[in-house]
Amino acid sequence: MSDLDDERGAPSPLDLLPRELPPPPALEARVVARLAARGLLTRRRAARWLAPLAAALAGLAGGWLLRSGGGRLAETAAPAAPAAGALYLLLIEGEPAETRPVAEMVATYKAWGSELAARGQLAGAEKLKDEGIVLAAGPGGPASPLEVGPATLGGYFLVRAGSLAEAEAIARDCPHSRLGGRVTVRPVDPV
Amino acid sequence: MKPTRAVPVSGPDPARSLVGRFLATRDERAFRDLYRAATPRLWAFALRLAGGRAGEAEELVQECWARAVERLDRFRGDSAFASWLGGILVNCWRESWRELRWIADEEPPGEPPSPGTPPDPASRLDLESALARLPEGSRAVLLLHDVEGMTHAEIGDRLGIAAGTSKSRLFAARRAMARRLDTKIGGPG
Repeated sequence: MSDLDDERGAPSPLDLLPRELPPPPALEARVVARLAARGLLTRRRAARWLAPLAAALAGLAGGWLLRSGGGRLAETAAPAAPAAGALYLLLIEGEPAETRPVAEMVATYKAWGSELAARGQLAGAEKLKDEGIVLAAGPGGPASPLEVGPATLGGYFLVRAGSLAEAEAIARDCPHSRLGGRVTVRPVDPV
Repeated sequence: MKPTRAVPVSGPDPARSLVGRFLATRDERAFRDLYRAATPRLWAFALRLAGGRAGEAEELVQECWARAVERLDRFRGDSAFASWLGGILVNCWRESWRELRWIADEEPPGEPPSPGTPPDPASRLDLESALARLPEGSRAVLLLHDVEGMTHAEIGDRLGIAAGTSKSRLFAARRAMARRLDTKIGGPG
């Protein structure tokens, strides 16, 4: 009984404590940032397929679209009256199956967005940043850092259309869907 | 009596392959996989070492991961990755307390807790609270011994104290825990 480790057989109140606890959701991003700042890992670059979208939106904002209020509203330089119809959200998701040179994609997005804006059908558009938090109930905890991957939401367009079918047609013509990416169309509920 | 808390590694350590994958690429995604596999245990340890102070625990975990990744190519797999990581965490924690006389903050040892002090009536929150209120040095010894399964010799080496000191701190820590839990459960007020 004089052995230094003779207590190890005795029960401890700590036996009841869980060995693992869910860390704060934001901690992962902070750890990654610290490692990156010290050059200890290679940060994942933003999804390449989003670069043309970002560049196109920047171009649209400078040339065709004007910021108004808190959002980036679609107003043409020679403002087009908003088209009749309801609002539909086009969610740009997933990596497109095909790729094109960035310059070509930027031009394609710009042409598509400008045309919508000229018709008064583009009510808003934004590219989303990579980072974020996913809130979802589950056994692993209530929240987790956003994992950027093929299924990630990359941006959105808010368009005006007379019907869901017309919104679908707009979505089908979106450069992202033409290249095999996923675009979800959801009507905005005006309630 | 059969040891109840030692945590020998049995079977392959799942973190080991994640370590190898990260070292091969140094890629953020590979690190995130490793982080998610190892951090729940690391976080529990850090939070308890820090006495329940989440801000301190977060800083400990961040610094621990930074140091671990710096020397990850030296991880040979002789021990479980969680234990290796825990050792780095303790070093970070020691440094954070170096100037705070954590070594001298002990309660004097007294009567030992009664054998088999039943922890059942105490809720986990009571336990966490009682643990958080222990002096830093006692809490560290109790965690390393009862949760991490380290011997007094290993604890002494890790904390820079004599093995006998580790034993006396464990004794004091268990006594304080039992007293606080008894008070919480059935004591006055």
